Amino acid sequence: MSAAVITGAFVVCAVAAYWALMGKHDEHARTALRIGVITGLVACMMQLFPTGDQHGKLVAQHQPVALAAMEGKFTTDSHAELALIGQPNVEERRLENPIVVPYVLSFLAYGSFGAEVKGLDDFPREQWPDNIELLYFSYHVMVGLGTILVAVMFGAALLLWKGRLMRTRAALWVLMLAWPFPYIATTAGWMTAELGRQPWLVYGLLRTSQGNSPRVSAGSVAFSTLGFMGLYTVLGLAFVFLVLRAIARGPEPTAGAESEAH
Amino acid sequence: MQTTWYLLLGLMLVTYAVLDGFDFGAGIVHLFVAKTDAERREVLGAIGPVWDGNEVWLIASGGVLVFAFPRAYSAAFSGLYLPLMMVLWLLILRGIAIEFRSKVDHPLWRTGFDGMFAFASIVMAFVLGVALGNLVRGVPLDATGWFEGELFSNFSATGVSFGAIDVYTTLVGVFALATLAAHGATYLVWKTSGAVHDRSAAMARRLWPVVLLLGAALTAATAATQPAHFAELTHRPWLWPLPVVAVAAAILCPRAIERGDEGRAFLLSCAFITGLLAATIGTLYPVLLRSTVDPRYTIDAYNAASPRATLVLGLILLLPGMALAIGYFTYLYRSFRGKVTSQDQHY
Repeated sequence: MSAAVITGAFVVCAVAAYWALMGKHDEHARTALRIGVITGLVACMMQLFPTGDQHGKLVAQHQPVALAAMEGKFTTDSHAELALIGQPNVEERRLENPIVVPYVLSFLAYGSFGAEVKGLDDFPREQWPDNIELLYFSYHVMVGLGTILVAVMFGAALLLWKGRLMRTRAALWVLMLAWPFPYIATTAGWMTAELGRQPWLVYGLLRTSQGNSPRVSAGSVAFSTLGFMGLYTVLGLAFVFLVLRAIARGPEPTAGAESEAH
Repeated sequence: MQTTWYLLLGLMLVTYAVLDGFDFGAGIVHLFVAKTDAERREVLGAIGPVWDGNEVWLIASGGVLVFAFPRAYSAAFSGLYLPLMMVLWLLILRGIAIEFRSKVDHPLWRTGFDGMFAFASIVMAFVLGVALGNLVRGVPLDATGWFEGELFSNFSATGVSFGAIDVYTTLVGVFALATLAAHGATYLVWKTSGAVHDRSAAMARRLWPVVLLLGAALTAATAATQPAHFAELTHRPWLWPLPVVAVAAAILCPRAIERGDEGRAFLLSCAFITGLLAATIGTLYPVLLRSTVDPRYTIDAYNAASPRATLVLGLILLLPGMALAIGYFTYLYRSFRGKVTSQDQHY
């Protein structure tokens, strides 16, 4: 939920920053920026703690294989390090070109710097998530973008507090351009959860390969998937068209704005 | 316990048909009863506050089916995979049409979405009828507990090949289309005024006799296609009042419209759908998915049900939810009672 609020806050900020940079609708831009930044800041803090922190600990507790794959961790260690960047090489079971922060993973996952974090080597191969590379990168995209977005919001909130946000054009530029990234981070987070629980449909009980409908052919599934993709593409384009129109028109006079917001 | 859940499922489906039925109906007839932009907005204003809430009952029915009768759910949703996907697309298109049309003030944009709204409503009404037809007629369930679902049969009168859409289910689909059109027109008579009101009244008065005529044809076709269905009904005299109520309601409804007794006309329209569906469901009980291959393979409320503990727990969880839903539905319909006026132009 806090991810959705963050996304909403960034979109509000982006529209307001655009208006502010163009010098249009000054009053609305000011109000929207204040609401957007404050809401965004609160949601970002909730995302870090308690929701994100708790979620990470739950994954560590219930899906240790998924955690190892997400972190690109192949060997079991106490005082485990957190990999910021690096490319997992599943064949050779190692992380290439890693930049790591020592001890942090143990602390984040189990609340103690000395805790032992299981690596993928400790689990039989058939329990590994199917696509470790994609899982690793979804997770790192989510966390990386998340960290940058939190930093942006903190910066904006600081400027707002000092009363300089409306005059700092560089910050407004950043806010205006930042809006796609919460969408990407949220999607990557969803992919992390779904890829991380593979190969299980019901964790530990039912494998995905056993959970499909025996009488629905692959062709039918491909057809319906393509249908949904087409439908959502059209819907998405229409949505973007309407939203851009609304932004270009700007807010209506107060009386009209009320009836519009039904 | 299985019977309770069967009844609950039936109740939800009837609620769904009555409620979403009138907004499908409004979509079916709106191109004919509303000509100008203001008139079309009036139609959308009549269903706008409630149409998406009405669809809650379809989702709830699906949830109850998967929860209480998982085997019936998996067999039906696998065998009828493609038709169900298309239902989903139609529902999406309808929602987009309703919500997007008045966002842009351009004649082609609006006409386009009006057409999409009508198309999706018409096909959905037909498809709902086809679905009901499949339940009554039965599907080729075999010993595996599954069936293969082609979309079309070869339209041979003797039904050589199975298809979700064949002569019989097409007839049910057309009947459903006529019924929901009449239901929707009757609703619009009740909720609108002026030109839309007058055209809807004329249309409803013409449609109800068609519904009765198609109903008679359908009765004959059902007797020919699935003799077991009426054989079962003759054994259950407590169901007999239901079809009588339905037929009486369909005869009385156009007269009530003529008299200007609009609220009662809509109630009669609801009674027609309720009576007919309740009779059908009561006759089918305890069958969920009839097998045309062998009665032994039929999926019913007993061999498809979840374990008893699950059903009991589910009931405890479901009842507060139902109470909540009924509460907000009452509030919603009270808030939007009366005729649509030019003041409530949200669409």
